[in-house]
Parts: sequence; C-alpha cells; structure tokens
Amino acid sequence: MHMDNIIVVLRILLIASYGAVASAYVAGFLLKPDSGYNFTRVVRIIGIAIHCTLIAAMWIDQKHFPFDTVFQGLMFCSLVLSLLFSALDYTESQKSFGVFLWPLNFLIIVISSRFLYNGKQLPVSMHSPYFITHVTLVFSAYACFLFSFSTSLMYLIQYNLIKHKRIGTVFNRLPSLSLMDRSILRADGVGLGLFFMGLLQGYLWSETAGVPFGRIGVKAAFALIASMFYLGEHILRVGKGWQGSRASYLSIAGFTFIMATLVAGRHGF
Amino acid sequence: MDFNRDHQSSHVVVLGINHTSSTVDLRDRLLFRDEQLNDALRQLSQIHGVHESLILSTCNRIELYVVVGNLSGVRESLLKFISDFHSIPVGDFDSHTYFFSSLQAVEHLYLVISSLDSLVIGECQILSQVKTAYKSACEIGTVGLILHKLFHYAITAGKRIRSETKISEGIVSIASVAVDLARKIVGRLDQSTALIIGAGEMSKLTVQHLTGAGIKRLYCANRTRESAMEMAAQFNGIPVSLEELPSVFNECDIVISSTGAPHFIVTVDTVSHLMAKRKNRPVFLIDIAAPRDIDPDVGKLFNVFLYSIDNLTLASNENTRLRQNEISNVKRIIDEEMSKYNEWYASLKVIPTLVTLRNNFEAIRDKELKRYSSELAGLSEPVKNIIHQFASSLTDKFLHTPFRVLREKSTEDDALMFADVVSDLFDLRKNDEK
Repeated sequence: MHMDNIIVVLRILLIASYGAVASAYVAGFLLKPDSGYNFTRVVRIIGIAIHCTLIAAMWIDQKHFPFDTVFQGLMFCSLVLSLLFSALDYTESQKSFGVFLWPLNFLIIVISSRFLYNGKQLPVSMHSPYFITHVTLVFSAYACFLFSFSTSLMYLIQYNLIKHKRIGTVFNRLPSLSLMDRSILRADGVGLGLFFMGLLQGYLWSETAGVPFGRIGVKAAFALIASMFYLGEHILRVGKGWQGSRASYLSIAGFTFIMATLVAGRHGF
Repeated sequence: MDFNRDHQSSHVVVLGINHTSSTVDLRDRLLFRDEQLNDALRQLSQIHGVHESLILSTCNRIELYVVVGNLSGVRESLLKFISDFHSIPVGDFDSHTYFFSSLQAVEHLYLVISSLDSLVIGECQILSQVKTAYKSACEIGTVGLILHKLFHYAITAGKRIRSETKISEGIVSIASVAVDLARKIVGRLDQSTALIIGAGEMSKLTVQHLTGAGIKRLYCANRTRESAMEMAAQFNGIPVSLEELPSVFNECDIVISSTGAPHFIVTVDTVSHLMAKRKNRPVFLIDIAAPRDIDPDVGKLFNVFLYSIDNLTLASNENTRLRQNEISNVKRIIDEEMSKYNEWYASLKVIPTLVTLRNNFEAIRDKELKRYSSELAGLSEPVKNIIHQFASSLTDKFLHTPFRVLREKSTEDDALMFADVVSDLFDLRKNDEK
C-alpha cells in the first residue's frame, strides 16, 4: 500500500476515533457521567496510538520534520493536548474536563486534516534544528493554552452557577473551582515557559536564516502580545490576587491572540 | 451442586429492623459488630431448619437472610437467636421487627440494595454494605445455592441502578449540600480551615459533616470564650471569642454563622478586608441565622460565595426531586433483575426431574452398549469410539426436546405437573428408588 494511502487511512481513523471520544464525553456529561467511561478511555488510547502512528508515517514519507505548515503543526498540538488530558485524567480522574476539551481537539484534527500534505520539499530556511525546536515548543505551548482556555470556560460557567445559586445537574458534574483554577495556573505556567523558549528558538532560527529581527512580521507580534497576557496573568495573580474568574478572563484573552497568531498567515520572511 | 428435591420447597426469609421501624438506640443494641459477625453467622446456620444464612448489619438496618425448608416457627427461631446472641429479651424488640418470606423477601432485598428503602433514597453505601455482608457469609460458608444466586442477581441490579439511573446523583441533606458546595468552591477540605460562629443545631450538623469529611482546622467562636471552649471541645476545634474573630478570619475558607444576633456581625467591609488579606482566595459563607448574621451584599464581592439556609434547602429539595423522578427507572431495573432470579428459581422445580431423566437415558445407553460389547469386540478402536459417540449423540438428541420444553414450562404454575408427567412417562420414580 502506497504511503500516501496509508496516511489518508490513518487520518480518517484519527478523525473517527477523536470524534467518537468527543461525542462520548459530551453524551456522558449530558446523560450520565460514569456510563461508557471505560469504552471512552479505550477509544481515546487507540486514537492517540493512531495519532502517533500518523505522525511517524508523515515523517517517514516526507523524509523531514513533518510540521512545516500551520495545519501540520496543529496536528502535533492536538497530540500534545491528548496527552495532557490523559495525564490529568490519570491524576485527577475528572471526566468533565473532556466535555470541553475533546470537541476542541476534534475540531483541530478536522481543520488540520482538511489541508493534506502535498509532499513538497522543505525550504532550505527550514532545515535548521532551531526551526524544529521552535515549532515543537510553540505548538506544545499552544496545547497548554488551549487546555487552559477550555478550563477557563468551564470555570466561568461553574463560578456563575455557584454565584447565582443554580446548583443542579451541571454544577454537580463540573469539577471544583479550586481544581480548575489550579489547572489553569499550571497549564498557563508551563505553556508560557514553553512559549518563551519557542520564541527564543524562533529568534535563533531567524538569525540562522539570515533574516533581520525587524522583519518578524504580524504573526510574531501577536505571539508577543499573547505572551504578555499570560505573563500578566501570573503577575496579577501573585501581586493583586487576580485568581479564579479574573485569571480565566486573562487566559481567554491571551488565547484570542494565540488564535490570531495562527490565522495571521506565514512569517514575514 | 446438589440439585436435590430440597430446593423445590426452600423459602427465602428475612427478619430485620431498620430506621423506620426502630430507634437508633435499639439498633445499636442489636447491631452485629464486625468482630461478632463470624460467630453470629455460624450460630445462625446451626439453627434447626436453616439451610443458608447471611447477616446484613449497618447503622440503619439489621437483617437476617435465611433459607429454610419449612416456614413454620422460623420467625420465632430467628427472634430467639437475636435475643440469645445479644442477651436482650425478645419482648424488647419483637414489635419493631419485620418479617418477609419467599417473593416478598426477595423483593425486600432488591428494594434495600436499590436504596429505595434507605433513609436517603439514592445513597451509595448500601450496595457496598450488602456486598461486604455477602462476602463475609461466603467466607464462613453459610451461603448456599439459593442465597448465592439471589445476592448475585441483587448486586447486579444494584450496579445497574447506579450506572443506568441518576438515583444517586446530587446531595439531598442540607448539611451534605453545604459540604458538597464547600468542596466545589474551596477544593480539598483536608487543606481548608472552617469557622463556626454561634451554636445553632443546623450549623453544628454542618460542622459534623465537615469534620467527618476531614476538615483541616476548625475555629469555634461564640459570645463568650467559655461557650466557645465548650463548642470546641465537642468538635475538636480551636476556641475563639467574638472579639478575636478578625485575627482568624483571613485564615478561614469556610464560615458558618448562626448567632441570631439582631445586627449583621459580618459586613461588606469586614469581608473586603478579609479578601484583600487572602489575596482573593475563594471563601464560602453559610448564614443559617434568622435574622441574618451576614450582610447579603457580601455575596456580591469577588470570589465570595454566600448561601443562606433557604438556598441550601432549595438545592436539597431540587436534588430530592431529581432522585424521585428516577424511581420509576429504578423499579424497572428491579423488575427485570427480579424476574431473572424468579425464572432461575422456578427452574429448580424441574431440575431434579431433568437430572434423573438424563441419568435414566444414559443408563439405558450404557446397558445396551454393554449388551453388544462382545459383537463390538472384534472392531478396531476408532470404530468402537465412533459407535460410542453415535450412542451419546443419539441420547442427547432424544433428550433435547423434553429438556427444552420442561425448562420453558418451569416458569409456569403447572411446571411441577409437567415434571410429574415426565416422571411417570419414563418411570423415573422407580428408577430413583433403585
């Protein structure tokens, strides 16, 4: 079987498995949290295995680092997100995180799969090892920010439910405010560290590619603004006690600029 | 397994007391504690006429499940057993017991395990309590064929009910609602500090639940230091007087107030200062007093969650209503699982007949093979094996239809009549005697 066909089949299986996981988490949240959980976990593990296999197949087929476009970078981001969720599920056993996270993860996979790899040669400027580290660090950071974005949404819902004394089924099924706040803090902290390292690698890459730093372009500008939001979140948490819902709003604002970096097109060089 | 005729006339019986039929004091006197259980099971199984036994002993119910061949005198025997074991006169508890037999006993077990018979409908503990009681009885060896099957089907029903219905979702007692809310707001209670101001009954109950949930530290405040010390001694807390409140306030993640003072004792200013010192870490305030102790505007502050007794009652009622809505689903599952047990139990009536029928046919087969053994002696081993296999297969084919029909008939009222007809047709009773 030709490698292209294998990659197509793997993409379809990946979309199907992640779609099943997303549907299962949403259905479980709406109907009954414990029902079908073991099945969901098995499908999730199978999906992650397919995901890893697909990335390996792409690397073998392209004979170079397979994340040279934004859409392929999102493929890697999705894998990191899946692994992050699995780690959280293992340590905290909170299924309700999946109800927001997995539909987003599924959406990422669908978007990234929409634009199939066309086997082009990697441009010379992207042969640098700094490019590889830049992309992996930045997309890993995106995964952390996406996680904190979805958790922030959940936090705001739960915060308003408790504040307005609507403590029914949804309240029962969402995690505690404390757990979600901690998760947002950790995800943003790790994400920020990865992001700064990724930006540094990007700077080094631009130097080796012979591009003046002044031509970094809109994409990198948005990235710097986004990192200011996340940095600001940490400073305001410690200095002004901006916990909980205020930190969630900052996290969501930061993620908006992250989205802007993704849609801002290619770098300026 | 011994499929002898005894099981046809075996009866499941339950004798017990629970939270609706007795007081907590009486239940405490009749409780079979863990260290007494093995002895009790052995003694119970030695009662004349008792084939199988199991004891379910919890803070809300004490029940003896036994299988007997004859219902006559069972209740009195079980009452005497309890009386002798706990050295309590029968007259002290007799009128508080309930007694069910056969189908009613089976139905009672299903109601118990589904939590429909519990103090709080939908409580989760009863399933694990029943499983533990069953496991203990199995280890001692007092459980036989009937109780094995009965508890297997009942436990399956219990698991299905909890996974397929919402009967256990949400909390229904007001104090538990408060603790659940506390968990959702401040997170881990074993890393949190609570403050109780005043000594109202509901606030004490809430604190009891909090300490039961493992609250890390508890401050007890009251009008005077002496009354604060009395309260602190009761809950293993730290006493503070009302004047000392500001010094501990910023440490507290949960505050329960029920002084009934004529003015607000917790104001917006107090809480604003508190939140600044706590760097806006969430705080959960419960105002149980009437008139209110806490200014309602406090609830508008960032990361401050203020609940009154009315709010908690509403939440509790809502959860109770949700559980009540699930009762029909629970009963449907109970009916399904009970019918499986009843079908199995009904099949016991015909099993002895089936066993005897098979034995009879196999005896005829073996006898005929033996009669022709001299003619078969000259044949090779493979051919002999084929002939033996043919004989066995033919026997199975002849038995297939009578077996199927008898099993189908086993759930009907005239099952025994069919079994008798089969016994007469094949003269099984004479062969049995032989």
